[in-house]
Amino acid sequence: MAVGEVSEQDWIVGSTGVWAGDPQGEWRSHGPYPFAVEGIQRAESSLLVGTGHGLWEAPLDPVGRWTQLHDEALTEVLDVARDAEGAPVAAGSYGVSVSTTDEFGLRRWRSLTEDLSPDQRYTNVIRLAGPDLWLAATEAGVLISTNSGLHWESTELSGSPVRSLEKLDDQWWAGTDDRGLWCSHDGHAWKQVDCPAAAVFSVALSGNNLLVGGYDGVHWRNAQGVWKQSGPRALIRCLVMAGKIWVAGADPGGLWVSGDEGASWHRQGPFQRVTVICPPGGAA
Amino acid sequence: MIDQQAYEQQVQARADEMLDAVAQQERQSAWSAHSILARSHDDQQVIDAVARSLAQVVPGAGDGGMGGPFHILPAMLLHCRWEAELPAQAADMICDFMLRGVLVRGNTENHWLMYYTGNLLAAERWREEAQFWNGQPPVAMQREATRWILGTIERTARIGHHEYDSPGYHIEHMMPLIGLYEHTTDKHLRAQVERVLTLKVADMALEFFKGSWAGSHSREGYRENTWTRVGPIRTLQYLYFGGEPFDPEVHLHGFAIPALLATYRPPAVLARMAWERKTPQLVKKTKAPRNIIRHADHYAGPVYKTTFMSESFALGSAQINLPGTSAGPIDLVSWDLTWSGAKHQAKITCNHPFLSPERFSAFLGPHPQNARRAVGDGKPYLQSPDRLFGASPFERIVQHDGAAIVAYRIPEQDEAPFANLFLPLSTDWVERSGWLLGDMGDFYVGVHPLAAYHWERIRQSRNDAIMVSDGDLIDGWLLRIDGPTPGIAIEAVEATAVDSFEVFCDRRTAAGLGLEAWSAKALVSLQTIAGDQIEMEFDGEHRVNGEVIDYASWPLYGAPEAEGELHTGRMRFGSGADLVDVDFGIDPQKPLMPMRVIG
Repeated sequence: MAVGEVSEQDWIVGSTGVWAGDPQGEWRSHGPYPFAVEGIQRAESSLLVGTGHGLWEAPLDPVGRWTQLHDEALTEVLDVARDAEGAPVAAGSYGVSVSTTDEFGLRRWRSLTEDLSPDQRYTNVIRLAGPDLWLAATEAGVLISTNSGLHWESTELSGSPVRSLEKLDDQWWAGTDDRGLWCSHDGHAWKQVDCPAAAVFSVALSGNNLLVGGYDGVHWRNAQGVWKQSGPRALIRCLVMAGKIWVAGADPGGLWVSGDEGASWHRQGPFQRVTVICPPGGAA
Repeated sequence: MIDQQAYEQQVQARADEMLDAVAQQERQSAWSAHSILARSHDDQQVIDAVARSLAQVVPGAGDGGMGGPFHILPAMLLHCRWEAELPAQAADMICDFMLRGVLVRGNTENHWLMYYTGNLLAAERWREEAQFWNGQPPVAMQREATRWILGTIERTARIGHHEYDSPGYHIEHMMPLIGLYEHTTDKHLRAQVERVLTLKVADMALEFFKGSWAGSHSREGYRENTWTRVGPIRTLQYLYFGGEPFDPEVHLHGFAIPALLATYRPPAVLARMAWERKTPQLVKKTKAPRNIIRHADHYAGPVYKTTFMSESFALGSAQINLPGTSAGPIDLVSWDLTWSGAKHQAKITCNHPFLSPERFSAFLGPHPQNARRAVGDGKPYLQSPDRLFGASPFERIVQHDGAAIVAYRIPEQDEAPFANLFLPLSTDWVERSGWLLGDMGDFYVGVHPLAAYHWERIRQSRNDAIMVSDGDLIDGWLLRIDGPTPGIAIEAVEATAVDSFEVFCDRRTAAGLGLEAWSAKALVSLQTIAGDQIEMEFDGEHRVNGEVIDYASWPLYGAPEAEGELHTGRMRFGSGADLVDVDFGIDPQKPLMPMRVIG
């Protein structure tokens, strides 16, 4: 393993560039690429990095050159996933995009949602739930596709921008910009969840604890169903719970870590904004 | 009719004069280092200029540590133009930058054109390298850049230029295109580039008014739309159109220096069109829709421009066709009245200073909750309630020759529920029956606010850290017109059209202004002193003398010396034997390349 290479034990943070390290320890910059990172997909041999300047594949060795994966049709990437074959699927301001390769083996991208309205096209989060079932959190609500993005339809969660979308414990959770938190078993039918935050940017679940990242910090629902507000009152873009360690990314505000289940939080690392947090070993 | 060869000799004489002046400047950049190589041949000065330019933090480059369009293009234009003479150290710096740097595209059309042009030229020159800066072989960038540039040219030829008629940014379209014309090895691309250059120079000529660029602009700098000489395009206006004595203070800007040494010269007819208009004429243009990416349930419509080029003034406006209630491109100027005069003394314009943060997030990535600070921290003047530029979704305009109604219906909850009207200080304004009437010498103007207003002074300066001592950015009168239904009616007429200013005042105040149904029913009308009736239904039809104005019929270009229909890729400029025809050879059935830049 090369010096500084990203290992399975590393946490990864998306900020101005990609960083690897430990929430309560040191962070190291992953290469001289100060892109505004919006999405990271972690794999064994490399990272897929969605940025304001396109989609990149970053080798695990920080000295290695990043390879451009986008073309002129793929620009700001807000989230990235991999399909059943491992091919990247990008979400962003121009929709959900997939690529084919041309005769030179170079990627050519096309938006699968190009013909939808601006708000339906603008995709904040893409989640691939199976070989065919894709969900997109858009500025017009959650859209669903049952044929790998070829056709899309609206769900019951429509009419509000959806800024977070996660599948946690077999249930979908969606955070809206103005109507709080919603959940769904199938992605079609949604019901609103009691939540003190009107704008929800991130969701995390661990056991009976539910964390929600709002415009005004972290909101925590404990096993008794009681909500408490916790941590800095910042816009929380991303949340990870790993046992007693809770990690929150604020934009702006940087990385905040709690080692005591939210009783106290400490700002860590050199970050001014954090948009993605990947815990060790897993995907974003 | 001017002979092309004679015209090119005139251009060359101006280029030489300008180059002499640039070569004398102490501080050079990669843009202007051409002058050193052409004149003094001081290698160290060239090396210093390249080093300084590649390290410079400039807009469009993104965060520190990355090279952006403003690094890439001048570096490659210098490298390509002076390949044999460039000092090895400077050449190596540029080569290293293009092969091993971290480069970004930016997010506007001019950014992408500069980025792709520089990268294409680099990919052509270093095609044998195994890897380009982006980890791919150079051929990958060559193909990507070629596709985007050709796709953008085709969009421009079919539906009109996206970043249209911008005194600030037109130069950043012209320079990469001229660079491609000069240096690309791709013959088809070069031919298309030459055609689109003709369009871009025709765009400059059609609304050129004695050194000013009249009418609506997709972008007109920040706090510059009360100036008469605006933006770096002044350099190419002088180079290609001449018509006045050379003034280094007015006519020189670094971004245009590579054009002085280029072989590209536009068709001579366009220079004649810029200065000679035998009669007042109406210029119609269609431009591409604004690219609004969210906060809207439908896409923007085409921009329909109308500019009345009279002998002593030009009145220009546009139907911007923005979708919804959130979009307001931040540096768009939808209309102005222009005449020949000193800075701040020869423009009238008004706007609604739309402040919603959604106007940023409608075309940029930050969430609306962050957008106001994310953008406004760097550009605080964008959030000023005194702002005179920038689009509003609550503005509508109807124009007929030298008269127009500019009207707003602003929601009650808007942060700036009023309009700002700029008037020059040097005019001796006369108030009569609600009309503000001005004698400009060669022409007369009348302006009538559509609601109550208060007369204020506006003075803004670059040097405002402690106290504004000189209004070098804005200096004039600011009339704050009360909402929720502010606006103005305006009419300008040549002094030769009426017996005297007094007669103009009499006739203008006597002619009708129908405001009775404006506040309650959103209907307003204006009768011109010639007796034409202009009517606006705010979200409905616009009429002149009872006939609905059919904006959908607007051509790509329509003027006495310009014609071109949408989607055909064919245009004609000039008249009689003095003609230039352009044919892009476009298949109108082919889908357009999707637009991915902001604005």
